[in-house]
Amino acid sequence: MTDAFGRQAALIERLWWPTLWVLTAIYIAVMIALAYAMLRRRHVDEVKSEVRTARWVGAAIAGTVVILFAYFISDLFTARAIAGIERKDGVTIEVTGLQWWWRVEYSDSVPERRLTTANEIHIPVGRPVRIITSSADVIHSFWIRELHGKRDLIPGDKSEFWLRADSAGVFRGQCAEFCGLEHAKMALVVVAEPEAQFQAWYDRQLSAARVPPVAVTRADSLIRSGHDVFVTKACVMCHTIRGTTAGSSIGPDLTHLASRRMIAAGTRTNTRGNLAGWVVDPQGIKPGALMPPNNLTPAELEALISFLESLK
Amino acid sequence: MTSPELTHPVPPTRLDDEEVANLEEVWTDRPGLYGFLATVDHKRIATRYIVSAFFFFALAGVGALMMRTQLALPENRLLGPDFYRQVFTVHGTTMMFIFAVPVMQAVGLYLVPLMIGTRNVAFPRLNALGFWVYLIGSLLLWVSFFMNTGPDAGWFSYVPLAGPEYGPGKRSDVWAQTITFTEISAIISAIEIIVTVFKQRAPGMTLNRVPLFVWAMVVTSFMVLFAMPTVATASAMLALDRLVGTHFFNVAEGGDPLLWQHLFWFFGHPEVYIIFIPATGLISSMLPALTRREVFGYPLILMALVGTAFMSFGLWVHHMFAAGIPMLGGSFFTAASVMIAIPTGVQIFCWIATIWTGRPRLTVAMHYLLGFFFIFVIGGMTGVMIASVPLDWQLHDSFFIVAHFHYVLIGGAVFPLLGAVHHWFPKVTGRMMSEKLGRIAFWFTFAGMNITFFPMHFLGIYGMPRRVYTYLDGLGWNGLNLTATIGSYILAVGVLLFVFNAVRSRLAGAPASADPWGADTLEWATSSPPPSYAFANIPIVHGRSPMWTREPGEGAVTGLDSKESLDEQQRMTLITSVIDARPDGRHKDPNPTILPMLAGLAIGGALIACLFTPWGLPIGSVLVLIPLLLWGYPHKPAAEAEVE
Amino acid sequence: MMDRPAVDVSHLPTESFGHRSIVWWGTVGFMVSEGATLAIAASSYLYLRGNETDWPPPPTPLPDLLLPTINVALLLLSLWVVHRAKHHAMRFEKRHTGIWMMICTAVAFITTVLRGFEFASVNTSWDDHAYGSLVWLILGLHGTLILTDLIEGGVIGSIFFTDRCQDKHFSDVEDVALYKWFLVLSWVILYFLIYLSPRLM
Repeated sequence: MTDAFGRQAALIERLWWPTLWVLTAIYIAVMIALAYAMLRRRHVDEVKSEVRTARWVGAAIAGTVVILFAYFISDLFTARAIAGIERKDGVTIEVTGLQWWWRVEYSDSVPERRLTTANEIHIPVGRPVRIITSSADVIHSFWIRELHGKRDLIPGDKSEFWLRADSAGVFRGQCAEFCGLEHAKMALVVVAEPEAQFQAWYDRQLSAARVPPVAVTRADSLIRSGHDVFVTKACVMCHTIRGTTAGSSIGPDLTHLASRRMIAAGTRTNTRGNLAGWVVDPQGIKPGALMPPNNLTPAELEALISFLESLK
Repeated sequence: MTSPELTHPVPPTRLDDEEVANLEEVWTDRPGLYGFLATVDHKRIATRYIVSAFFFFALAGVGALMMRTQLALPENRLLGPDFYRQVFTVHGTTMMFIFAVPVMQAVGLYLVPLMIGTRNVAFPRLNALGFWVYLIGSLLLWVSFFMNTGPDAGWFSYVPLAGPEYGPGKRSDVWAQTITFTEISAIISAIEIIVTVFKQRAPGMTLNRVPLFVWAMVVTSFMVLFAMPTVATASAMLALDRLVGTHFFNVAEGGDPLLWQHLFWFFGHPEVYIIFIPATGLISSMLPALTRREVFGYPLILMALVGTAFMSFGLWVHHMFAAGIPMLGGSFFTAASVMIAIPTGVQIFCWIATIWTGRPRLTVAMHYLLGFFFIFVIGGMTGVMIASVPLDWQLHDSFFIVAHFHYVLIGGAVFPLLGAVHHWFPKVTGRMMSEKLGRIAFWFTFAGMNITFFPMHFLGIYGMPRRVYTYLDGLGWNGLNLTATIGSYILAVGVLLFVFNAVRSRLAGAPASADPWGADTLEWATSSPPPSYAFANIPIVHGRSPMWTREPGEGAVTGLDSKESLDEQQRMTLITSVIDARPDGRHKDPNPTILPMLAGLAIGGALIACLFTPWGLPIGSVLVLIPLLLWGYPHKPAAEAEVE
Repeated sequence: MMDRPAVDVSHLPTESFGHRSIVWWGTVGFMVSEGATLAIAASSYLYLRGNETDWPPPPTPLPDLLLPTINVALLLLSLWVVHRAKHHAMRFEKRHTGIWMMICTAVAFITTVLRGFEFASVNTSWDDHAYGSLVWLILGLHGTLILTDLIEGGVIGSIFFTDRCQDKHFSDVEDVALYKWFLVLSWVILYFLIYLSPRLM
């Protein structure tokens, strides 16, 4: 609506402002007419001309029809412009809604270059992006208002739409269809960045996590034991970290967790303290989330967080 | 039956005192609890309908205050997500199904027979049954809520969230049963109103003389006949999916969650007009008294009502623009959604022309009508915005929508309704409401409404989705949310003052004359409050404003009650022809009976049993059959009949 | 001044037939809302059918034809029967009206029983697939109407054999006839939809 950074949002914004001003003007005119109708002085022997009144009413109706017609036509043109966007050389991203997070899969003709991540999407500025939507459970809705309007993610109904960022920025989106308990805390981050930066990010994300094979430094040994906590405790039941034995896809892929801006689907900033708080007590932060609380000793927790923070 | 101010002599054709006393005896309910439960008087039933609807309105209003309190601050921990989702679901379900539609129908059930000059609705016992079914359904929802089993998937209960897999427990079953209950009673009320208006108008009230409120109720009732079966069927399908494992909405077995959305909105959009059209009727029928002239453009307004009703069935898909529908379909529904603004505009212009050329009086009712214009037109404008597919993609399911529909429904329905309560209160109770207190209540309500909901437009534009139990700090939403919360408390004060005024006036208000506003329709021809038989002599209508074209010594209908009918305690109503309201028959109106209440209880028991076992339906049906058979089976020939 | 005399209505009848009677209008009202219910069920059938390539979805077999077709024929026959009853009712012939109403009830009873067996002849269960759910829904909704009509016809018919029979009950027979038209015509359409259309289209 406002603050458009993308082609589609800009087209919508271009329809929005004239609509807003014209309708506001009509509203003010109606209110003035009403106020005058209430307050005008009436002569004692005033002759009411129903015919003249009928003419005014007729004119008002005609005006309404003309304005609405013009509005309908501009709406059609906007919808056509949005549908007619250039689709060459696009990035294809499959976004799946789950209670209450987002699975993000970049597709590529080369299988090794396919990428799975979660809750943070990077897109190159200026290139069209094809978003394929689906849901694994209930209906969710994908909405990054700076780039485009909403699109519902409906189970059993894979569909797609296109968007394009025209300038760089970091945007917060939030699920827009009520999807149960934690609908309020199902957000995601979209980062639009120049092509080169995007490619660098993409290549980095493709790499597997590196766990120090031998603990040389104290930091390395901490990471090493954090990894051990991860793969021996409950974490491994739901999460994937490529390069380790953790390979479950029930929860978000954490291979590059530390590179993300937010945790718990946009609920907290990705700081050491927040991460620890989340691991120990997800139900306190996001009651009803599918992640169980974890009973870890302080040493285990510290190691685990160090490991997670190493996943750049 | 004449008002005290009119001094013309009573013509010889009218009943004498003894006959009026007989009539009183025939029509008046027995005192005590039995008389209360057995009544089939449309006025008593409608009044308890209205009082119940306002009671649930108040409960749902408390729910709204709880939500606003939770949202006053970011990451507030007052209400948890599980409680919050029940609160907003029950709030929405109550306001749409238990308050707005029933209260409008109830006002219709009270006013329509009086406005058209008849003594009762067409099927008085069925009417009583409708009320009991409504009451049980509404209580089911609220009792479940207090037992932590309140529905929690939103008032439109989208599947699969409300389906068997993601909505375990009984919560969504309660929702489905509540819908079935309230729709049964809505359909009953609709049939009552249509048949009463078609067959029981006072002689001379040809179709082009029918008051606009009555027309509005007829149009609404026809919409109910088509819309309510849709949602009742859909909710039954949902209940079957949940209870016995059918697959209507289950993708894995050939079902489709979008089917639910189509069915729900095919009902859901007309629903908005089922609430709004009666309100426009209230406005059209109050304005003559308030501006001292007939409403400008009677035929235009009538065409607008009918046009709105037809169009409202052709735009349900605009609730589904974000679900990814084909562009051509989108354009069609945009065109329909934009077009429906035209008949609404026509009505607004006609009303302004009425005020312009009339001599308006600033009573409290008029305050509410002006408030209606100020608020509702904003809702109309935002409605035009979201009719556009691209704009809707941005605004859909955001707080902008919350603002939009509260502007439409509070402005378009609640304000005219509150004005109507002030306007018709003297007729119903025989006492005037305080104008002074009424004005204070109005300003609180008006200010509170705008302070609560205007900021929500911005919240939506800034990205806040609806139905969230909290939001993070630092998103720029804090100030707007806090403002809205403060506004909601001001609004609540206004509503409380209104209720206080109504209760106080009921007990100790100034006595009202038969026609305190100098109004033009027939309900003002009888005393305030109306006697149980409404009109001793059915009036004869000579124009659109019968009260303004009455003449001294005017004749009325005679011979409706005969010596025998009065002796036999037989209530009589006059049947007239559909188009030109010529007298065509004398109908024997049924006496009070407790059977409708028993049937209502049986239906209630059956539907509640269905929450737990599919056998509830067959067993319940048999139970329902017993009172219905007693009801339908004839008494001994009339001579032996008793009052009960 | 215009002359505005009183209108004397004491000679008007207290019972009447057809659109002059309010019960007739009430019946029409219920027919409209029940018709809307059936229409919604039929629309849902067509909507979900639009999602499938084969209908009924394999391996579900087609519904049997014999029993439903007999039942349609019986329903059409009941139209003729109920009109005999109406014929006598409009002449206020108590005994004949009663006898024809009883025949009508007997036919309605057979129809109701056959409807019960129709559930078995559609070769699918409500919990197999959305297709089965839809067929059962349509059979069930219309079956409820058939059952209501059976009870109503039986009760009204039996009144003619008692001393409680009043003029209004003759008018009720006419409403039963009207309702029967709705019942039969709506089923002819639904019969086409669930039994014939999967074969033809």
